[in-house]
Amino acid sequence: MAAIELKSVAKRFAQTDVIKDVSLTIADGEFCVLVGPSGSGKSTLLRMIAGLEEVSSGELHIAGRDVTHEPPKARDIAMVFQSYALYPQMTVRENMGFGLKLMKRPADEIRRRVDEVARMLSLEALMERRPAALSGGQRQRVAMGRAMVREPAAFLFDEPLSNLDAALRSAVRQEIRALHARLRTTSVYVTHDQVEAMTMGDKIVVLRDGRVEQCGSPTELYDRPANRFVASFIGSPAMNFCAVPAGLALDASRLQLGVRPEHLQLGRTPDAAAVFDCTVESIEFMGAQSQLNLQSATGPLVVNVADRPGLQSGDRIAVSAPRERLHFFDAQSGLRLEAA
Amino acid sequence: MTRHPASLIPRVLLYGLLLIVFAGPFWAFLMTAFSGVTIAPGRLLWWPEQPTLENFRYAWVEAKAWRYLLNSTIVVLVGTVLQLSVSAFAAYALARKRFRGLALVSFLILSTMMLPDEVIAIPLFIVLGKLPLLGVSLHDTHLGMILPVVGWGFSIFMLSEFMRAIPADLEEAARVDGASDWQIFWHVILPLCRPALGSAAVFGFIMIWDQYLLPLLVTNDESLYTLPVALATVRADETMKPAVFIAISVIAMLPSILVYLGLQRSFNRGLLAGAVKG
Repeated sequence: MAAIELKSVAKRFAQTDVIKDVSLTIADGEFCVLVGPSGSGKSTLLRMIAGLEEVSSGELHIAGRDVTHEPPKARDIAMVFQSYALYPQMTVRENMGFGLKLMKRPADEIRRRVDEVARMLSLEALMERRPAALSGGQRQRVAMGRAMVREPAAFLFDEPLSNLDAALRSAVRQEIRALHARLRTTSVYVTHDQVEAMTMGDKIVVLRDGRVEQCGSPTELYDRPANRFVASFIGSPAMNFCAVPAGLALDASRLQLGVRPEHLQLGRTPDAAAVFDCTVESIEFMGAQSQLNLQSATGPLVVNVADRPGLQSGDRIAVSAPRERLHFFDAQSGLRLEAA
Repeated sequence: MTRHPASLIPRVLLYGLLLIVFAGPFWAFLMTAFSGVTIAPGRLLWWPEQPTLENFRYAWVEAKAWRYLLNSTIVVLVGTVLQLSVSAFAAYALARKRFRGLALVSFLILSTMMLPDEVIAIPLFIVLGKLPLLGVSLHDTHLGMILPVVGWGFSIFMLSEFMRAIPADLEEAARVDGASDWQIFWHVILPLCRPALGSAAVFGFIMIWDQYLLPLLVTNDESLYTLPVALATVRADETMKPAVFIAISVIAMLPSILVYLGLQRSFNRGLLAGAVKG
């Protein structure tokens, strides 16, 4: 197990800065999720930690050792790829034992460790099969097993669930969390799915255009997003943004108001700090909850309500939110203001 | 659904025609080689007349076909193994490595395929007569017939195209697993190239087996002649019966056919490789 530390790390491809001055500490045993939209640099950052991409400037330490210019094999890390990258010509057993074989471990030790991990991941029945004869979920587990067998200092995951269907994704997500709780190995996990990030990470790092927008626990990011980008990226459906209603803040024209769809309530509640008079445009029934798409004087609003609201398109209603659920952002910089 | 027998007639006729066009000459060749009658040059028999193995015995013992076959076998076996090795290494570098001058190197390899053998015959004769730096002559040696065919552009490009299609993730996974460049090549890339290696082996074998100009340049010593050179000599010998010449030709053809049949599965897979995804 080991802490991973990035000090002002940057990556430049020709004239393009892909990673810009990223500093980050991932504590020993922590599960850190790198999240961001396509092109934000999250996979590149992971590959830099793995040693598959050169670091243009800055320093990278794993377990206190400077590995900035070390090859992957000197970093004591294991990686699970998006495509799983299983060797097609090898059986599951050979795939899992390949790393140990390269380390020239004795054959009986390789067999013992591979069997141990196979038991942990319920792969025993598949050991003599080739990857082509496995389902997506099984391949994913073999890829995890291959990483675990080596007992590395850190696991790196590059969008490992993106090729699975929704039901399997949820199951494997829980499996990975359970394994992490058991092994407590430092893990860095890349995803573009904010639900995955929120449910899996001890720490979430939100990236945009190669920069860290915010780094913190899931609750921190949800409750106190550092800026408009993080506020809109974390949470589904995304946070509503609109002009600040008159009387709510001193300098309303320079601010923007943010409120999450699940924090808006139908009607004028007694503790309401902001009230919006709206027209219902459409209603999306989703089973346990419904999503109302509204139009207010300050712009469109999305509201999540439990069950069925008993409304229809064209109805006029008021929605409100208490003071503690309102977020204020600087209209120019997009930064969140603590009090307005 | 059963077809009306009449609808099969055009198909049977077509297959019969193709069989006659492609297999007919070979069949007649074989039948003539097993015939004991003296035939006029240029004539072939559809059925053996006075069936005998005498032509083969004469070809093998008196015309020393065994020696030419041995020479051809040495050249083709060593040549094919070396050619495959060099091609695989070169292809790996071209397909998976980025280095300065990559395009130039590719062009130079490609350009070796643009020159007909006849154009380089004289320079090659001079170079093989006195190897640069070493000053050794490879005239009248098997090595002189092997070395010039070891680097073959066609084989290199075929393998490099195949290697290029192998996902980079596999190589990176091996790198993270702790593999060196050599181990990635040996444990990951090469086993995945087995179909392409099979195709390259068949093409390489046939290319080396059919070499005529090169052995002719390298040696004047009859004991080092390969089968194609020996065939030309035998053909010019007016005392030799045409059926004996045909028997030697059959001996010369057999190895290529056997190699093709032996590697047919991987050969066909190699030709189709990359045609469809997955």
